[in-house]
Amino acid sequence: MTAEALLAGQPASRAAAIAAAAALLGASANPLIAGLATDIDGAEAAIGLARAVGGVLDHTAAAGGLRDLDVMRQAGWITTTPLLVRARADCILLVGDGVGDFPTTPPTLAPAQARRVLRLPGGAALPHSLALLRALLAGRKLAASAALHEIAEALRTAQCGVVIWSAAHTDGLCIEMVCGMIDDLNRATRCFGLPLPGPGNLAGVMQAIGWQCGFPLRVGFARGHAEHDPWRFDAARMAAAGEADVALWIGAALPDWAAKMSMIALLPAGTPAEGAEVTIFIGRPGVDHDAVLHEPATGALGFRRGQGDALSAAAVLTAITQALGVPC
Amino acid sequence: MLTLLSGGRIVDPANRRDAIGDLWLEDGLVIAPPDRAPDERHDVSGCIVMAGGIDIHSHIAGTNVNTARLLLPELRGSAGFAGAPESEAIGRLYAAMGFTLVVEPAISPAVALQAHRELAAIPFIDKAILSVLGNEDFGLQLIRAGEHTALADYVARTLAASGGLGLKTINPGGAAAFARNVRRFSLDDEVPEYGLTSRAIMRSLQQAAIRLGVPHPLHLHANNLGLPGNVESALATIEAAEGQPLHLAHLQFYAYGEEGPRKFSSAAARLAEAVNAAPHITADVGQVMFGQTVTVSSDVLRQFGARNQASPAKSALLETDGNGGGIVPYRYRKENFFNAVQWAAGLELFLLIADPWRVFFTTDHPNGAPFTAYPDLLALLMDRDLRAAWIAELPPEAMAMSTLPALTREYAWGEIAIMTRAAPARLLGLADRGHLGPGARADVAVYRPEADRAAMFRNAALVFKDGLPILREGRVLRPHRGRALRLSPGFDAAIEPRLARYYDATFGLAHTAFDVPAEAIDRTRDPFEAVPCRN
Repeated sequence: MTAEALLAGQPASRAAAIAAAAALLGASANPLIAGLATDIDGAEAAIGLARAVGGVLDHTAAAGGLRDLDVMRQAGWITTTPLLVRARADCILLVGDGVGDFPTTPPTLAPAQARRVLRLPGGAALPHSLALLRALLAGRKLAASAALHEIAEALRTAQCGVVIWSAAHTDGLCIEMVCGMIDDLNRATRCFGLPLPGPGNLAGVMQAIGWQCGFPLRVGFARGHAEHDPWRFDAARMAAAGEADVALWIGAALPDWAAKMSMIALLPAGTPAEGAEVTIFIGRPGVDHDAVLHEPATGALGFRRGQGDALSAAAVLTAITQALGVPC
Repeated sequence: MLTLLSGGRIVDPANRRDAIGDLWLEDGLVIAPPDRAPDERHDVSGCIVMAGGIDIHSHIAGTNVNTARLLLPELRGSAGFAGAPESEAIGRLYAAMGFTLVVEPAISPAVALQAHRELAAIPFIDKAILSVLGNEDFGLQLIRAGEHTALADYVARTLAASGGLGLKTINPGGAAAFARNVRRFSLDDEVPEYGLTSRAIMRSLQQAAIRLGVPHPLHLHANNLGLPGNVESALATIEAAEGQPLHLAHLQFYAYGEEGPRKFSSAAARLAEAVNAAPHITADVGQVMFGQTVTVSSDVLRQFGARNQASPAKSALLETDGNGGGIVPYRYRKENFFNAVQWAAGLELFLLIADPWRVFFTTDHPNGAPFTAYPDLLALLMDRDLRAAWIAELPPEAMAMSTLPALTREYAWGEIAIMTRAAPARLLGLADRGHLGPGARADVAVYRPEADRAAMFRNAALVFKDGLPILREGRVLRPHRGRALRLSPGFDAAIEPRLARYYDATFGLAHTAFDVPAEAIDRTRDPFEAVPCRN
């Protein structure tokens, strides 16, 4: 039988591990709760724990999510959902890397229309290509490639154009250029952005922190209330700068900065946990237990029934919070 | 536990009671005076005692509201941003004002699960959502085919699956038309490809709600919100209801004429007259108050048009099958002619619609103003001198475009209790709320009168939820969790395989993908409370 928890690498009871985790967090000057690859229950429980210990919340994929968010909250955007893309998009532009492929089957609600799928490759030339494309669409006379002219014409004549990108693979200024171009197009036609969500239920965790704290990710509670600062509450930066002394990590594997501080790891059963002072093995949300997760296929939160009733991150986080003995 | 509130003035118009007296609470209910000594006694002499307030239209949850939170971090101090507070603050600040039930009126079924998770995170008060239909392909196909029975089944299945307390439609057909690049859309304009007018969609949904016995009439966000001259739209919409029950949301935003040098005037007096003459119509006002807010709407066509006035200058628009949404921050300014006319038009509706059972107290939070402006608005309704003082600070050329300066009506306590308690309970079909008769839910607000009425309303002296004291003068006495009220209308199960085929072919999904099972919201207790339909 495999251990349910480890203390300093040795098998231990779950109760002992929870007590040890609470002791570490309770004594910490500046604790981190990071990784955060968890379901909505886990995210809400992590917020409760962070409030109780005055900790910092960060997600392993937050950097990409914040790149998208920074474009939205600095310039604005017009986006859509994967469902509308499938049902109505007659022209799809895939921008940069990490966007996969898209079938050219006709849109399901407009089966008589052909669907064009075009691509703007990633790499060093992407900013230049996007700038040329936006300028072409704005009616500027430019020496641009035939491929760019073709994309511009396709977007201009589309009835439902969609531009897809992955913030994890795309520079913030490129995303802003894409969103500005979409905005320009909507003066005369309809075109929407589809930012692909990051891994580890990033979009779901971002939403939960939004309704619980009023802010997106990278939130800290050291002053007793939520503060949002993408630079200050960057877990990797804090680790490198020696600003945190304990981290509770929820994810598939420990981060590369794990050796910088005392680690409490909530990991899927069977994951190696070398270097963690406390390890508690948990189920995979939506697989080993029921979970609410952001569904990339719909762009919305959805309920996934798990195959069993394995221990959830939320249960562990709630138990640690209760073991702290502070009112929350 | 037996609780006595002694010596207060009990204002309970549903039971024709307005007198000094005692109120007894036990096991979460109001009871008739018993022959026993109370376990807990609260002396509320000198205070006004009313049932807990009910807000029928306030955007407090869902993906659009949450986008507003994420869009505007710079407007959030440590005290929170009133336009889009976090869930905890919503519950606490509403409860502090004596409100105990708030309805989030615009949830697309595809995002109902998140909305219910957000509602569950709002403490103290009970909550509900209205489910939005009328722009999605499936519903439009049924209406086009004249399949009214199937439409009613589809509406019922959607209400049940999304946990809705009522049916809402937002610029019916307008979002579908905008998706096809239509930029102006009125009552008799057709949605391209469907050949359906907004009128036909509205009527079909209105009748579906009636057929199902949904207590709340169809909740309509009409066409042409915010545009000069749109009073004609509102008047035509009232006619279009053809004498059947219809609720008009945030009517102030449709009370605009095109008179005067700036081609923008209040037409609220005309509109109020039409409402007075149409007993089948109810309306909430959507009052504008001055200050920073953020507009949150599923009328994506309107929000696309509004983004040029965004302040701060940014917006987030989402296009979906169905309504989508648009988040546009906005600042209503006293010195702005248009904003001042809007403010006056809302107050005119409050003061000129004669029947307090048919006009409802809202700011369309946060679209006209954050709900935290309610205390000031209540004070304005009750005090003509206070109104005169505000009017004196506003552009005279704006006040000249309205009848407000001539209006002397002041709301009495009984009318406030009808408008914010008794009438909303009746409109939503909640027999145990909005009054203080035996058997009523023991949700009670106690206000201590003072010269500054706004201060009185901001922090009720004492608030009871389900019979327990939860807040005193804005301070939390004990934690409390409310529930979400939902209908469970019956329907012919034949709609299920039909929806299954449609969802699979169109979206590659199970048609149950967006359902909201109770265990997805709360695994420790039932997050819902069932409300019966009328048949």
